[in-house]
Amino acid sequence: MKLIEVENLTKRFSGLVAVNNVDFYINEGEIFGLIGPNGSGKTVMFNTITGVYKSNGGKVVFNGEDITDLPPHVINEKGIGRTFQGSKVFLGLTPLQNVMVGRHCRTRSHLGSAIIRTPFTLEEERDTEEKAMHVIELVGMGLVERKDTPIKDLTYVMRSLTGIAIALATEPKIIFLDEPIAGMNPTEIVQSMELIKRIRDTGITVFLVEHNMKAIMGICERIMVLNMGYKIAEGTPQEISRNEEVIQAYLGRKYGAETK
Amino acid sequence: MLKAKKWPNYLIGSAVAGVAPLVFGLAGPFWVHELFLIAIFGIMAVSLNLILGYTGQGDLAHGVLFGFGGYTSGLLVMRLGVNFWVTIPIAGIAAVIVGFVVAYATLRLRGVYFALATFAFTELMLEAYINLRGITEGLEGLMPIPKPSIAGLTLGPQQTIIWVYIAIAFLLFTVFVTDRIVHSRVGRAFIAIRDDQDLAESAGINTFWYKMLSFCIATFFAGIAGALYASYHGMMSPGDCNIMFLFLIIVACVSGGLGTLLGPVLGAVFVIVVPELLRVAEVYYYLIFGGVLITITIFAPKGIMGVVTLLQNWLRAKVARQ
Repeated sequence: MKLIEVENLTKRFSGLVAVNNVDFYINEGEIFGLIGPNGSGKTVMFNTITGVYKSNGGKVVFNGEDITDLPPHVINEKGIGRTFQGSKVFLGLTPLQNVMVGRHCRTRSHLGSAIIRTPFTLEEERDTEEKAMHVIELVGMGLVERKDTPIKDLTYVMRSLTGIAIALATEPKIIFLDEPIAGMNPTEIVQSMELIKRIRDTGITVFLVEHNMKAIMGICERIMVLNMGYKIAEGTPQEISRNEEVIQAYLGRKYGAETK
Repeated sequence: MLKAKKWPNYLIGSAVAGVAPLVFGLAGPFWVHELFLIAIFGIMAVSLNLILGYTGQGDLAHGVLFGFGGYTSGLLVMRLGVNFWVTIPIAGIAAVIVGFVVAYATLRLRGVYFALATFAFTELMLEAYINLRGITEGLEGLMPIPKPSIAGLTLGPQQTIIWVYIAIAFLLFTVFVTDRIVHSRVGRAFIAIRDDQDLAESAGINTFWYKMLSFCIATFFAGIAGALYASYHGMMSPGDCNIMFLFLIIVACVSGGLGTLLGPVLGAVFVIVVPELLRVAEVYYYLIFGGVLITITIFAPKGIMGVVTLLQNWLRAKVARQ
């Protein structure tokens, strides 16, 4: 079943067309990769689908429902979780508290019950912490031990993992990961790939943007390639790695010709 | 994030609040008056801290909304003979209604643009207070606002100590409510917006409405503080809520420690007491006060509360070693 269907999506910034008439779909339960050289429009694509940017044309259908240009928090509630490039997290909180923020749209306590501290709120708060802990345990990789350390004192990698955990805590049907392994060492990369598979095995579809070709080829079922805002290829990792246009986009015309 | 065993802290806080007026009373009636101001500034700083320190939005309308509460209560008591105690919540709600309109129009702006928009509103309201003479009586202000009474006792100038207890009770209430809010789902949303609004939005938080909520709660307490202040003084004028007043509230908030529960209370003590102590320096006292502020900003960027926390940790470590 198609979980996300994107039709003719276009995003312009004054003169520059960052995403140009792109069509694709993601099947439920797969790991779908998005690659492309710097400036090819990968992150813009993420931001346009998740409502951070308003599109200039086209349609995004999620789970049979048109979600084009809805506000980000509504799109999140419908079941799309995401991370940002550069490990965005809430710096004033601990990892556990960060992940608890992610429970926001799945909890209901409001101002009145927070002040009076009703039994419902107390119960919900306990539940929030418990579910946040489950997510942190699923992520693993040392985050459990550091769950109460102020995030200012944690490494880039720990922040990245916290960002993923926040997105997971929102109980998404699909998670968008924007370069999750940037800045990681080879061991951490291997662990992260395991993590992405674990996430998929819990029933969450994965949409992955990556620069690291080797990593993405290893775990994605299907890959789409963007270049200068255009979709230039789509297919299995084998098909992509043999695709003439992709090789040219990454390595230049000269090398593209030589591989023949 | 809920800390269950907090009642000992509340007990200590109430005890301090109960004894403080007596101690200040020994120092003379002037200091009792100063303590009343500390409590009012405390309510203002603690509530401003909710929107400024916890939600990260530069609200520069806090002072004139305090004024709006003061004028609302004063006018109701003076012109319509409404019971003062009834006007306290009305003043809070009236301030929220005006605040809501302003915030709705401006909270889509971010950072310094929001601050500037609210500052423009402050200027506009101050001009209105000065020039709508038919209602506000201009620069001279509303005067005299009749004194309220409790159980047949009129709270005139002789009953300052009762006023102090009333103001402190409201301060404790403000601190209590703030404490409950910041340690809840709602407070987490505020902090998330402060730390990263884009991420908060993508993590499912309706950032606009949560900023509105934070602004309105802060404004409610500002309105209440305005009502108390106007009734205590028996007057309300534009000078009571001008830009200097706003500035001192912000200083109380920042010097005490943004995003800490009790920092703004300590900050309120600081902005009221220190200038008084510096009066011996005559004309130079604001100069020295400024110097003290700069020193705090440089050496204690997390405010007085940051220093208190450092001392606490140091003491704890020392006790642990022994």
